[in-house]
Amino acid sequence: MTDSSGHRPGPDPAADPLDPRIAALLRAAVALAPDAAAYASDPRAAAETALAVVAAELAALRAYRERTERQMEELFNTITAFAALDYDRRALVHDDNDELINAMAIGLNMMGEELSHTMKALVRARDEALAASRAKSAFLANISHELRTPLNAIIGYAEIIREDLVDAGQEALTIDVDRLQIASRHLLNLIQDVLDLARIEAGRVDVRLELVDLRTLLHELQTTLAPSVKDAGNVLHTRVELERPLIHTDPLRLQQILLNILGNANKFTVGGDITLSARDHDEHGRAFVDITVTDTGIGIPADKLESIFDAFTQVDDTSTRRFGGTGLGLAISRRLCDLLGGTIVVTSELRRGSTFRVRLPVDGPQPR
Amino acid sequence: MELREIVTRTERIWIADGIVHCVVLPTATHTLDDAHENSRAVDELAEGRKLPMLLDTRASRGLDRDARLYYVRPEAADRVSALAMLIDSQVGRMFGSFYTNVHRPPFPLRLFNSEGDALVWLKEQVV
Repeated sequence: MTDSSGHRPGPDPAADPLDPRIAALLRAAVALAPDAAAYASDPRAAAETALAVVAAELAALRAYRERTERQMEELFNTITAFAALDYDRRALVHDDNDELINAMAIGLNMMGEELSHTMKALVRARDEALAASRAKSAFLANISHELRTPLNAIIGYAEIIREDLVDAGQEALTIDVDRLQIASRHLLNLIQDVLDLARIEAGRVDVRLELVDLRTLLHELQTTLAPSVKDAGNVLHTRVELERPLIHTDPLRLQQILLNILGNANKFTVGGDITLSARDHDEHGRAFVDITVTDTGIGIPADKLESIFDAFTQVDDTSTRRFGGTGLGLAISRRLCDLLGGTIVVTSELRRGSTFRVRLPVDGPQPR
Repeated sequence: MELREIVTRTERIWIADGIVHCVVLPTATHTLDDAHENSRAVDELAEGRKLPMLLDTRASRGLDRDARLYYVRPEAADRVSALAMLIDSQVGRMFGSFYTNVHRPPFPLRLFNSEGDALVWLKEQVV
């Protein structure tokens, strides 16, 4: 039996003993159904239809969620690969992906390609630069050797000429030969510096580790430098406070470092004090020794402290002209410190003086 | 006048009112071969003329680096006088941003959300 609208008369919803909360839920569900008006005539059938629609919607939602999760995981895996510097991974672009997900996948893929290309270009450029640097260092090492050989001959022959002049009673003529010898030795020192740096940069410098008594080494340094320190009107003090004076290091390289720093201190200090000191230092459970050279010289401007260890660098060009040198000494010292497993740092105050600190591990450099 | 259209593996291309229309199809990621094929199709339709281009990348599946570089090579300026890109989609925005910031083409480029506005600008670019 149907009414005039064609609907079967159903139970009166108002008379339905249904729990009001369930009734409200059913009404909400029916609102989603294709024929919400049917609720009035046959609430049960309408509710069944509505629940079927809701169930289908939920299934579709679950499928969508699972698909989206898979797509997001694909993007996540691509990003994870990029984070690990693997730029060759590509995110898949699927027809059934959301547009947003596809846009992200396409963008990630383009980013990966560009990063991969840029990274490979950078690595190639770096390798070429390193190869060029090694070639330059090898060239310098070779050319410096070729320069030293004739220069040694010049110094040797100048010495012979000087002796001949003295033997011939022509001592007044030795002044020019002396100048020749001084200039030649200076040039030889400069070439030696270039050769050292080139050898270090070409990886051709070996360190020969042995057990060194620092007290003895520092005392010998003091003795070696005494004449030039006196000539400059300076006073060299030593303070050795070491409970473990024996360290594993290369004594020749350490001497080279300290002679360079002490030589600089003497060069840039006139009528002042230079203090060479050594003390124990412990850091992260490892034993070190700190060797410091403090002077009361002209000091280094704060903005130059960073570059003072760069090759061919002095505080300014006028320093090179005024004080001489190639500007290679500290660059060599820093590289030698690296080879010995240590560090070198500087603090300074203009017109007050400078302090260079060399810190070396007592047990020698760690294997690289 | 009957419009002639060429459909390649990745694009639908035609010329109307002196403007090259390229609609990227959602078929595949563009490769260099696709870029060559699409450029040949544009050349064939343009018959050697240098024309402005409306590019719709909204359904694109992406294009690899070789293809991207090919589209913005300097010689591309011999065939394209200006490029309007439709970017009113997420994929479109991605390409717009990329061509604006990473690989700029050697001809004027403008990004549009509306095809009508793009066509107005392109008509001003007809050589």
